[in-house]
Amino acid sequence: MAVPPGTEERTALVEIEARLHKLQTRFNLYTAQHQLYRVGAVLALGVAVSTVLAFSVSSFWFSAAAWPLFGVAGVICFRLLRQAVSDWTDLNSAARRVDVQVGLKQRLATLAAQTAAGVPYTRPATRLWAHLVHDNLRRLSQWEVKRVAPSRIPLSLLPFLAAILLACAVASIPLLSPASEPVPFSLTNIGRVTSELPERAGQLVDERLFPDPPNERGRSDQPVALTDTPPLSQHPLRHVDDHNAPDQSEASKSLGRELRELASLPADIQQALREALQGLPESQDAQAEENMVPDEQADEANLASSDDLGLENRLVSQELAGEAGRARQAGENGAEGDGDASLQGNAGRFQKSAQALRGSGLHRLRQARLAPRDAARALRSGNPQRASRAGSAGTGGMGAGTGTDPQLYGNPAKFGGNDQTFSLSLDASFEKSRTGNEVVKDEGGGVISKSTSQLNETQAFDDAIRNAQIPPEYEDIIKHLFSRGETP
Amino acid sequence: MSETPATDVVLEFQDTVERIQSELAKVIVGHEELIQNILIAFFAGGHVLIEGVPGTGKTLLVRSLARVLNLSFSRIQFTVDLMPADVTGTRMVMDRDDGQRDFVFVRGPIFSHVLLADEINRSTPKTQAALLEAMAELQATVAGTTYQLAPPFFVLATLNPIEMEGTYPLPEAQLDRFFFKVRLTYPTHQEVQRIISSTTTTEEPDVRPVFTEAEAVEKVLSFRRLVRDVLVTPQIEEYIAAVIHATLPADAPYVNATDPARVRLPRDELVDRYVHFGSSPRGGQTLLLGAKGAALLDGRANVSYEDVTRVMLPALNHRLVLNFAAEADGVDSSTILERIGRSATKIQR
Repeated sequence: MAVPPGTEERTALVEIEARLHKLQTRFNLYTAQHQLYRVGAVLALGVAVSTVLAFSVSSFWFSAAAWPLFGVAGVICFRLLRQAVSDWTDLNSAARRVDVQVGLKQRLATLAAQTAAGVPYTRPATRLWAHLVHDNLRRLSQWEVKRVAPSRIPLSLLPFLAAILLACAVASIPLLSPASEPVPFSLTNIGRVTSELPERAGQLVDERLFPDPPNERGRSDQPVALTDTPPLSQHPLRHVDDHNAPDQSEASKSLGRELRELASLPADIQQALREALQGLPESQDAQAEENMVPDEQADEANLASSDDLGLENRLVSQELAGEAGRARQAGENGAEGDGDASLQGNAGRFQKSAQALRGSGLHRLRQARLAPRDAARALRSGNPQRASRAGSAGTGGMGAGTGTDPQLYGNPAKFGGNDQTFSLSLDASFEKSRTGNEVVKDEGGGVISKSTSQLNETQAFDDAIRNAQIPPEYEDIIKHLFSRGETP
Repeated sequence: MSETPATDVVLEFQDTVERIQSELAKVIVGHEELIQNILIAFFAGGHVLIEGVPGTGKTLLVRSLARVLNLSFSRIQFTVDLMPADVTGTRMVMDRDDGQRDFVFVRGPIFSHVLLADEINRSTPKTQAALLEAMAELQATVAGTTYQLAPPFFVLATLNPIEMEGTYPLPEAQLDRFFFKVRLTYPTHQEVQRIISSTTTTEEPDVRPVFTEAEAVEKVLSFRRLVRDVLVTPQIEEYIAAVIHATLPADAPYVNATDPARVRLPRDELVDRYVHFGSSPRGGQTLLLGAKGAALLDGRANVSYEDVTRVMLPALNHRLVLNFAAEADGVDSSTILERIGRSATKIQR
């Protein structure tokens, strides 16, 4: 069968061009990957650096450094993309690359250039065109696609991955940073708070914070008399915390901080906490509480027999002492200065927060440790004193607001007798930290603010303390709170 | 795919050149590369200037080439008293049969296919210029009448670099008309041994022509067209242009300083220091045509960078006009061209 002239050349040309197109696609794919990885690496590095800047420098310096940083990254990316465009391979460039790689001495490049110029379709070919096509067809086996452009991942992937890892590591810094922890008590994470609350209450237990056993309490070196009581900073417990267990001291401080936050929450959040802990509406829970009296009494008995109660009460008192001390210091500063009322007001607020802490913080946690239901009830009550059972004084409690819980500071039976307790003097004053207080100077030369008004007998808080037999462990705290003038 | 006619032509060219080389090898010992360059220039339609010491076979080479190609051959021994008419021919008063006298143009030795201009630098520039028109335009003008030379016309001139006294160095314009300038180096020890053993016996070397007398001219012209048919990419043309521009010194006159060349070679220190003027565009033509001839000798229908590099030295070394500093420092054009060739490899695409 006769073949029209030039048919063989055109058939061969189609075959060569098809392979050349495959190579061109591979070259361009590789170029695109290579440049994209490089651009990605630059962007990831930019993100990492900007993140580091955001954490390490002030907002002013961050904004001052971020724009140049983004500018440099943008310029680099632009240049990389421009290089990608310049490296983009057309058919002629692909042919030249094959020529160089295989050593075809520009046979393929010449063929591609002639084809691009329209030979043999729109322009007459020279006498040697057929020889060129034939020559290239003979060497077709020398430039297999897999041989010339094997499928491979650009090495620029490695710096890209490294940059991504670096950026991820830098970006995870906020997750690891304590500053980024969510607000422990909020409506958004109330579920987590309620679930963790008993566990957090368990962290409160520090064996070293337990009071000495009754048989050893008598041999305690701690003096009973108020005047002989060492200052709080020299208390054996503080000494142990400060020197022998700094980590646990830190834990206690952290817990105390959280508890203060809990106590300072808005009323709606506290209410939500109570409801979440209770799991029932307040009215229903109150009715359920009535039905649960026998069990609760048993819990009370267990609690009363436990040293935990004394421990927690002691912690409450310590918190109170700490807050009140800070409040007093604030009041003193206010009196010593120009008499700024706001400082004295601050002192009053500190005292109130101490009461709130006692009423809504540690005391609730003590209940929460026993059972979530008890804790919920305690949170709902918002009263540091235990409610009476059916409106009458029970075996271990008083009527509401009418007396002092005899187990306010733990089981008295565990204190080793009443000879180790002390009582406040009747003329002891309670700091009010309000404007118009009389400012007197103590013997040590310090200026204190002391209220001259008599305490109201209906003040349940004071009444409870004054009528209680206070164990010596709380001597320094009570002394600190109620006898400012005698503070050593 | 079967062999195409084009392939057959290329194969025939290769075969012809091989046969010529083998025939020349019977009388010329060694110098294979030089012979190949001469053949490239011949089939590219150029003229060759051979520089070599006396007694190295220059005249023998040209004479043997003419015999192998079965073309007409002439030889002019250039001397100081040689006149242009001795080269081109002259009008002479001749007696006709009817007793009258008439001016008849007597053709000079220039009217041949292969011309050996032996020791061309010994003649005066006026006589050298007589050859100029013939070499460039393939014609000779005598007494106002222009006479066309029969193609193919191939001038092979020789230069004696030793005896420079009483010589007239070729002007740049005339040098530029030579396609190649090749140096015939002194033969090696073994080659000398073969030369003296083969030329001192009664046995004459039998050099056979590769063409018949009838087909010789047509074959040579066909091969010359074939050389011009060799394909070249724009990138190689760009490369050649860059090489030609690289031979120009920075302060060369008549050069456009704001030339927006896309491909440019870095400036060479030796070029700026020693070159008075670089290659002309004719050098670029020579470079490409020579590269095409080299490609065809290699059996290819396309020019490669290797072909350009291969012919760069013979094509350009006589086109660089060096200054006195180069002569004083002993720097020749081949040294500069080798440096340019090395740096030119960086722009090969």
